[in-house]
Amino acid sequence: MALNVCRRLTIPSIASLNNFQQVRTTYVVKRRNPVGLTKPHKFASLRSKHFVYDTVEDNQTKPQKMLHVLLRKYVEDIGQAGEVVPVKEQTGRLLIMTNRAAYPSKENIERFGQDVNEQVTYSSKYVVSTMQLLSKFVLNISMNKDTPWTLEPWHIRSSFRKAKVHVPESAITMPEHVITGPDMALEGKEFYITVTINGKEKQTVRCRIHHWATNLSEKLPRVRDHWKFPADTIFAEDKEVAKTLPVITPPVLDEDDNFKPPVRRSATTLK
Amino acid sequence: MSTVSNGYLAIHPSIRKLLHPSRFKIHRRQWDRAKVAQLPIEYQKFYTEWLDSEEKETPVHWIPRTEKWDRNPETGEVKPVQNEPYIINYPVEMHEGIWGGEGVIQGLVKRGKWTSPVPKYWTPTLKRSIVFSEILDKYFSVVVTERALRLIDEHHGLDSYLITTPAYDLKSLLALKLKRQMLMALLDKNFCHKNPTRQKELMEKFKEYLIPRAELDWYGLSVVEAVEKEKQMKEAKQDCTPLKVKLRQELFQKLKQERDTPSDSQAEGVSATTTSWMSKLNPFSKSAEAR
Repeated sequence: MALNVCRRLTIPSIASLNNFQQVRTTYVVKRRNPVGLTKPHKFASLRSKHFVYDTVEDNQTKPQKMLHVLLRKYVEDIGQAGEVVPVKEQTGRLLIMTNRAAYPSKENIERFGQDVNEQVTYSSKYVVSTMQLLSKFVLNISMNKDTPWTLEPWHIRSSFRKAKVHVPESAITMPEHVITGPDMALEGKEFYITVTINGKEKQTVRCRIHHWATNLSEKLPRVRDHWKFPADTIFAEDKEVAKTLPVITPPVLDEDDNFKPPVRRSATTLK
Repeated sequence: MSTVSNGYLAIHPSIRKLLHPSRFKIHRRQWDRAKVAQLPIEYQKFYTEWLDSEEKETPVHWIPRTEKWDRNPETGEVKPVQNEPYIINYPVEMHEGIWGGEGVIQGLVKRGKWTSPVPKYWTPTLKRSIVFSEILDKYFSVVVTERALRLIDEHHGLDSYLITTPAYDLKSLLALKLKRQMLMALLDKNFCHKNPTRQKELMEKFKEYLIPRAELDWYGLSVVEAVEKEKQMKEAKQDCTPLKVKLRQELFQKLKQERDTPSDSQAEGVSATTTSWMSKLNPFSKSAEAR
């Protein structure tokens, strides 16, 4: 496992373009000793002292300038089709090369104006990346092991908050069946909720119930990396919903790692 | 904008007319000059635009002073401001990429008051990048500088940058050759076949920058290439077949004609002439007749 982590650290993250910030532009130099006046139709008499230069503009560390581009398609985290947005030079050039954007000249705005209206629009520029993030999400819902409860939207909101995702209660749609507990049969099993983004886009999210006790002796044993492995669903009809989400592929383990995939104890064995 | 205010351009135009032009001749690239003088006028025009118009170049590595006069703060003496251009070297490798007018500066650096100046080269930072040409409909992987990429962005594309920028600013032969291809395509209307409306737009956009075809044939060639082209054109015009081949053919034709048309009157005439000719030469025949 440690080896894997080390490998990951050594790989440069090319995925985000923001890593390439520096650009190296032109050198500009200046004479330390100015050249004297020359008569017309004669060349200046240059001595070695006239070639002593001072560097006026260094090209080593210059921040990237911003390039304004006209988007032809919806681009994740950058903008909607038809918008003129400032992006970093390198990002802008990549977008233009791949026909996702164009230079914002009058001519181009006229040219690509018709295509833009036919595009699919989203409620915000961050919608697609948010939906991608949520589709891969495995939300852990910690419920009490001792006191009885029924699952409500605020439970899910607070567990989202633990995972650093802020979701209002109105955006959460609960499953059709009511889930009550504590029930050891539900431990580590999946059910699905729907999150509505900006009242428009809908995304189903995986949730797994975990029973939690304050007393140390009553706590369930720790299961390592349980979110990296697939689990069973609580309701049989949910299996079709699960197919719409990206499949959880278990990680490839190192040979020297003596980790075993999590095996949940059934309710009977716990008692 | 003229960057050179000394020498040729410093003189008032009315005086400039009176002086002999050989006074302002820059004796640089002598060997090239001798060759270029023998090449056609079309190439000479390109050569002057490319290498001989140094006063028109946009300064890349130095900032020219814009004010006309300068007053000495201590003495109050007023002197004219002259922008002496900086000497910048353009290596051979520049012709394999698009550097946006950048070059190598060779100079000295004095790091302390009591230290002697040390040589230093300021070289451009090169990188390989991909540029796209709409007219040629191709992606090129070329060595570029950041300045070149920024110039392309300012001009809204590679086509516009190459076509609108004159040869003295482009400098590299690769850029000039691409420019030539683009202008050729514009002249022949050999681009954007799938989208005729776009073709019209581009034709309208670059209408001012079109060059006549005779000049375009010689555009973007180095001196060596131009000399080679001239040589090949001359050879193509010349008829290099040796004289003995020509004469032999003529003789053959003559003989054939004689063989094909052996009329009696001609044969008689030939025999008559031969006898008369022989009789003139040979003295014994005459004597024989006399006997």
